[in-house]
Amino acid sequence: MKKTRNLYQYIGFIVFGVALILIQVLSGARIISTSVTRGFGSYMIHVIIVLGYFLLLGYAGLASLGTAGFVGLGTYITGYLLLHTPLPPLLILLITMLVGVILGFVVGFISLRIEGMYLAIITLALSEMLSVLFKNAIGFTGGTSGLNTYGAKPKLFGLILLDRTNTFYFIAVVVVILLVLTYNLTKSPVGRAMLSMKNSESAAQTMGVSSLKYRLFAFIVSSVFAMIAGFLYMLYYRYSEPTKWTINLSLNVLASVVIGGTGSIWGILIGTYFVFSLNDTLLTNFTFFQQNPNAFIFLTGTLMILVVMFYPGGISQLIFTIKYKGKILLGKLAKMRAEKKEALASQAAVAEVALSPSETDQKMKEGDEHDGKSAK
Amino acid sequence: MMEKVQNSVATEHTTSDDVILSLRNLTMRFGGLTAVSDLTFDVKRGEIFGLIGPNGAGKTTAFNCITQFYKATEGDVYFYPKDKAEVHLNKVAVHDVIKHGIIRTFQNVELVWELTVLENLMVTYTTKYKSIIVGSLFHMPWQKKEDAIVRDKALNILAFLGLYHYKDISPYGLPYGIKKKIELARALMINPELIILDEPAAGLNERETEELAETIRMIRDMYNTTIFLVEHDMPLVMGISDRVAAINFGKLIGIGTPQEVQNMQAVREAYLGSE
Repeated sequence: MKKTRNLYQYIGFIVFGVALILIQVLSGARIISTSVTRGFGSYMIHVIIVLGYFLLLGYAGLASLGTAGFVGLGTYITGYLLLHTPLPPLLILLITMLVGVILGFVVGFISLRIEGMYLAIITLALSEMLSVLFKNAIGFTGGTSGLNTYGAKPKLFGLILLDRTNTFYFIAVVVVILLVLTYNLTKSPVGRAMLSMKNSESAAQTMGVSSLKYRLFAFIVSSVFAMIAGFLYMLYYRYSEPTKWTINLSLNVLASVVIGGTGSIWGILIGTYFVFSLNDTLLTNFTFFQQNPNAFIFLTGTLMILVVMFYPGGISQLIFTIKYKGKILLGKLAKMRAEKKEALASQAAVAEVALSPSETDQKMKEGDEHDGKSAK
Repeated sequence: MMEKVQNSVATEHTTSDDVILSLRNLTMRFGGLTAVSDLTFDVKRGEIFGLIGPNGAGKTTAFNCITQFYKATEGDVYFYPKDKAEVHLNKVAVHDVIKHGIIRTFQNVELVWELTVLENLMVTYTTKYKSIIVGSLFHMPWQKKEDAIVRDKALNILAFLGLYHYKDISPYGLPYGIKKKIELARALMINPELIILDEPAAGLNERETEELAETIRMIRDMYNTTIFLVEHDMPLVMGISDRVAAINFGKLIGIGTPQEVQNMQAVREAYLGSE
């Protein structure tokens, strides 16, 4: 039973990836506009960031507001290496991931000393420090004018040119892989260990779960995810600048996890779409949102408040409720059907056995005669 | 005037086969406050040993020093696992204590709400998984086998304690007595040599406390384990303990069988006040 549940999830993720790839294909055929496709490209990159954060906050229970800085760093390292070195893109990806491991290690260690809100503040400070670095290390990042890699023509495996279209496909593949890995972690001993650490550190320690090991792991994973997102961002947009990597992004990532809920990865996918892509891919078709581009921020904020106050499980909770109610409904329908079947069957059985009144009299007479005695 | 019953305790830490846990001059200070002072006693293998004392006597502090949630300011805690070398617990990190076969429960039951009862039990085996991170990321086949073994064990223990039908639900919202039992079940997962219970009767009514006494005895007999409990509830601790130590103001004021300790003047004074 468990095996098939996992299988269905994997299939779901693959279908999800295929659907995304389809969007790009349809864009090539001019059925979907490029701006919508761009919106989904952005969506996929943000999904990766949010997945990492989901593991950090939802499973390890660690508050961090440093995500934006890490993603930004990922973009700049990628950009620099693309422009100034002949390194192939996959190797650049590996390097950014390694940097993510180191950063995750550092922040993980810091988190052992600092809890909750103060950890969030420290990570925010880290992000701000990176922001200052981005603005000032002009040789590395191009400062406030930004860094562009229009000149670089990276080729995957030395063969496939990573233009917008191919990069989109590449990102979709990476997203599916990371979805599978994230899902695997949530349904594993590591996932259980992290949840125990989140719920009760004392109990976790009693059971042998080392805070050091699992905090480090959580921060390393989320940092690596952020780095991967940065790498892909640079490949896709070929441009990065400091204003993109601010607390704004970190807070939106947090909002995605809150609205999406930590109970289900699909909830996270929907939550991320709502916060990052609903506006660009759907709402801008309506004049109200075109004229009031900030109206959407209003919506996000309001939804966050409503979720936290009245529906803390977020969209994941909604998904579970629908599934649960659906199961009950199906159960009821099946029961009704079974009862109906039984009623029909017993009616038929009675009809077979029952005789008409005249037949009954006849049978009784025959029986009496057989007994050799007439009652009359 | 302190009355003290001599028990078979070696004054230096020489071992006798009898002793499983040994406290030597255990002292815990928090700044200017001395919570536990010069605590010295032994717990014998296979017995049910109780630690009693009025509120604020230092029971919980002593408890935390033994289980390494606090590192004692002075003094030592030695553990003597069967057929293995002596362990100086002061040197052991709190999350490594379980590896030696010692497990504790919590007064305010500490279960994981976001996991099912079954999964709560399975977490105790976290350290025994091979290459847990690689195994978890890729759902490696070896991990599936490990999971099956751990799951089986957990189900058996749940059945043993009459908790089987709770296996797939979250402990959130379950009756308090059931939650306490689940914590006990969790403690049994590693076949512990020493189970340390932190006020297990807290919040239980009389009937539930009797049930608990039964369960503790059953566990000691079935699992051949030693039980050390810190407790307030006199009927429980006096009823099931083989020996009892009484402390007050962080100091040991008496040790012996429940009968003996009950009759000690110092113990009476601690609980009832001097006349």
